[in-house]
Amino acid sequence: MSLERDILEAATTLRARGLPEAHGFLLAKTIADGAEAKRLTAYGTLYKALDRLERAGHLESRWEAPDYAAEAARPRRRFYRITAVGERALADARAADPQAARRTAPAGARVT
Amino acid sequence: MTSRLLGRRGDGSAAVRGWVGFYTLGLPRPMRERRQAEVAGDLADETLDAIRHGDRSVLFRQRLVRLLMGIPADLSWRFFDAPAAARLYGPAPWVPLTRWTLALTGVVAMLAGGGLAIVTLPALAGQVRPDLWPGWGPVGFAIGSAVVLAGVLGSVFWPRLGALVIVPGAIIGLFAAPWLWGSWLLAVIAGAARAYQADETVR
Repeated sequence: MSLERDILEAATTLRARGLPEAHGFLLAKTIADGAEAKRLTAYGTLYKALDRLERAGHLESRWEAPDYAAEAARPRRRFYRITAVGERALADARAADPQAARRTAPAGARVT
Repeated sequence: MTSRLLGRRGDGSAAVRGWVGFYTLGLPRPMRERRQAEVAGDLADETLDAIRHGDRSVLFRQRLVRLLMGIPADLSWRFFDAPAAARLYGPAPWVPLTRWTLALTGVVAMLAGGGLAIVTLPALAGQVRPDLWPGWGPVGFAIGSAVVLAGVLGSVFWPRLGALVIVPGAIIGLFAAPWLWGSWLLAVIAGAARAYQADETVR
């Protein structure tokens, strides 16, 4: 099971909950909540996978507006959104391995 | 709230930020800043999450695990993925040597060139000195000196590549002539200083 697929599953789950875009930590948290180990994905592993998914066109990203981050008194977040290409790739992966889709469907994210 | 989210002593955030700053050295400024800002955002969200759930005490251990487990991916990204993306930003402009890097480069070049000459010139003239020191030492010394010389001269034009060449040369030289450890260390310092000087994010 690849992390790339887990990320796309998490992005889809979050979108279904009304969050069309998600930052790195939220994606890691969502993946962890759906996994048995409940362990957050390592920084390097997560951001390398996000970089690859974006370059492959499966995700697109943007920086949060600086004003909003300043108002919340924290660094800016980078938001990722699954693209149509990413949705097709995820659908193909689910079709190829439907068992894995059930195993990795995130149960619930605790943070927003 | 800001200071709490940006990390405090002992929560592991400084180690993560330091590591990201280290492995992104030498990348074009936009790539470097993006990775640093993204991880900084992650650290803040991680802190916020811990505060919300009242388990801030686990932050240090959690961060250490996330940091260590991600190092292979960080290095793989840095050496295999990032260089291709960095080329889109075009070649970095040549950076002239400062007084210090010129002095270090000159001293190391003279030491390496001199060492190479001492071993190879008698051999080329058919006057091999078997008493020089036993085993493969003279050959390793000559190879190490030649590689360090090539690296330190190359670092004038290609700082990062030069630094990368110097390191294996210095390691070979250290095994061949360990009593000259200070010279091999100086070579590595010269390469690192030049690479650091040429890093566009610290200029």
